[in-house]
Amino acid sequence: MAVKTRSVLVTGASHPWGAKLMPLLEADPGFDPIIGIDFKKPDKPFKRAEFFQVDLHNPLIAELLQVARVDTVCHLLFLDSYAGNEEYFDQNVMGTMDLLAACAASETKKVIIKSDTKVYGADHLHPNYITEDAEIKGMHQHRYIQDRVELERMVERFIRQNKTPQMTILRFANILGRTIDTPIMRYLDSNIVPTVVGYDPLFQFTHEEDVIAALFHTLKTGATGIFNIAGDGVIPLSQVLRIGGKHPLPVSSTLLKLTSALWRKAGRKGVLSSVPIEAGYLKYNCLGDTRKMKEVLGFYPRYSSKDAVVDFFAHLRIRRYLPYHRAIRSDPLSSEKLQAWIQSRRRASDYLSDLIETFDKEGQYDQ
Amino acid sequence: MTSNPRPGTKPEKVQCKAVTKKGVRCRNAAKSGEAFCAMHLSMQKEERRPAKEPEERFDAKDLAESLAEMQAWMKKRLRGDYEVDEWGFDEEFAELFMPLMKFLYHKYWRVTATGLENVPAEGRALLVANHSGVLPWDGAMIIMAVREDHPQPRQVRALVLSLFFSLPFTGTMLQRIGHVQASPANSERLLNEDELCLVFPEGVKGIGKPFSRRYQLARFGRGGFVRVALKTRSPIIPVSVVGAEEIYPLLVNLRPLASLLGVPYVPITPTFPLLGPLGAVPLPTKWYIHFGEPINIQDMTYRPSEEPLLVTKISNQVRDTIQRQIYERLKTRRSVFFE
Repeated sequence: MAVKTRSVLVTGASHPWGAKLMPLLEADPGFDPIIGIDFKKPDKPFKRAEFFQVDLHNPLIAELLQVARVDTVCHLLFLDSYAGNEEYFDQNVMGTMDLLAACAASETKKVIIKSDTKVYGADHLHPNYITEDAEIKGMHQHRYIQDRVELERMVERFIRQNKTPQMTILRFANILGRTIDTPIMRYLDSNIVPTVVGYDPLFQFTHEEDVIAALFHTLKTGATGIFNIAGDGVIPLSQVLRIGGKHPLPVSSTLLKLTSALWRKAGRKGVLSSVPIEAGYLKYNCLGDTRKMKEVLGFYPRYSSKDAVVDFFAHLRIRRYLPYHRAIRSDPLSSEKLQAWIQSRRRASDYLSDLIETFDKEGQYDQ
Repeated sequence: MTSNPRPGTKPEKVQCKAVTKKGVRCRNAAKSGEAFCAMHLSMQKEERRPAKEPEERFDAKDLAESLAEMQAWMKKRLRGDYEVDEWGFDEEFAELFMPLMKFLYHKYWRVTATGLENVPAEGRALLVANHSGVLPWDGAMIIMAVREDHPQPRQVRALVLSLFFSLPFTGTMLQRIGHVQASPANSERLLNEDELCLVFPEGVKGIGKPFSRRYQLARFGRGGFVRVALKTRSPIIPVSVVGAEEIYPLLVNLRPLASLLGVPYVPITPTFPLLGPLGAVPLPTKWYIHFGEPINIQDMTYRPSEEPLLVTKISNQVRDTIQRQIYERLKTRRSVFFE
């Protein structure tokens, strides 16, 4: 019986998220052919996937989608820009627009987009847990949030105008991990962490492994709709800092806004320049309701919010002692899988030798 | 003082457990099946103090132990080794305020809580109460009533005006001690989790009303609480609080200043702002909290078209019940400060 295969196109295949997802897809025979596109070359060559070095504006993408009969597009190319950068905006928003137009013109059935729960914006008038149908009113001080908000608004318009392809948006809560770089990780990476005086918001976190797992799960099940993805439980910012052994520096929110803007403009480095999180998110909760994730998508994250924080700080502490600073090729700590494999092999050989021994004792081979 | 019944008395005769006003153990025999004698049974609950254990002597060892305990606790907190629940409620932290809350409940306002049998021991329910007293102490005392006097103590989740959550320190504080920001989505989620919710439909209109209009219920919002109760099939329990209206007699509300500051009211009371921060000390009035009979919404059947009518009907019914409970209490109240 022939296995029904699906054709997948992944954008941003050379960037961390794409590079992590591609091997998973390659290992699954249900996805064929697999196409990766990005504007820069990948760090390592792919085993099975085709890679094309094109940017999202390329008009050939529409033809590629047509010819390869691409079923699902997984759109992961998004550049977090901390200062205003027109090029990034051009890639993030205008590039997505071109990609969606190409999808609409071809027979692509589904598009998966990775987004952020920060697009809801932090506001004291929000309910504690924001559902997926809430209005998008993210904050505008930082470009990466602004780009996301613009992107989501554009997708909203696109959904209203086009019936196909079907859209799936995964809105992830603050992502922590070992091998990636996110705004919240930059924020928690200094010894003195600026906070807003008198406020202690609740945070949700997602571990990078869960991000990849969620993307793969969505690709596999073909679910459509908008989903908030976050680890279970919430954790106050003060507790996050205590777990990490960081020192909070309470500043008034106006001062924080002003100084971080000035510092950024001046291109200076220092405590206040490393606030890639807007003051609003340090004042009020911005939490996603994850019931839909569990009930409709059927995805259960492995790491709770607290687990993700503990894992992240464990990695931060050990990072400087690892052989490759920042760019770790093989993590000496994560050999659990290998150990498990070795043990299973050992058990199997033990079992075999036991069997042979018993046979020997019973003397069946002597005859 | 002998606490055992004298030899020769019948075994079923038990001595009354109460202590008289002079501090002597009551000599009367307890009524059969009860712990107190007929006289003390008829008395109010806080008056018939049960006999205390003999006072423990000061012990340096105990002190050292409790200090070590405290140190361990602090260490644990500083390491970030604690949990908050999904609403930001930090039970360990809230526990720190219990001595103050217990003092306010038992000694300062001497709260008499009645009708607690109407509060279910488990499962969802929506407590609806009248709001008064400039600062929301009434919510705290209703929470205490269910914690202290309910046979099966529960944590009440009070829904507080979202304005308080936008204020520095206050917002975080309220969240950590178990309050939740008032919104239909939040109350629906809480009730679906089978929590005990407390709402004040009067909102700011109730808490910031002038002293001259005390014990007259303000408008009950737009009936949002009934809609949530209908949706989640939760019984509504009307709660009336008497005594909280007089803790800060609000003489004048400086409306222009309030709108300038973006707050709902700027109160002028006999002590505030005259005495500065001391003006925030409430007056020691005598409080009565009554939990009325539940309105069993969960058994109601109705067509979707009937819902708006039902919402107004139930909203008015709850309002009238609370107002009636308040008047019933006021009829027998002889003094604001004493029993």
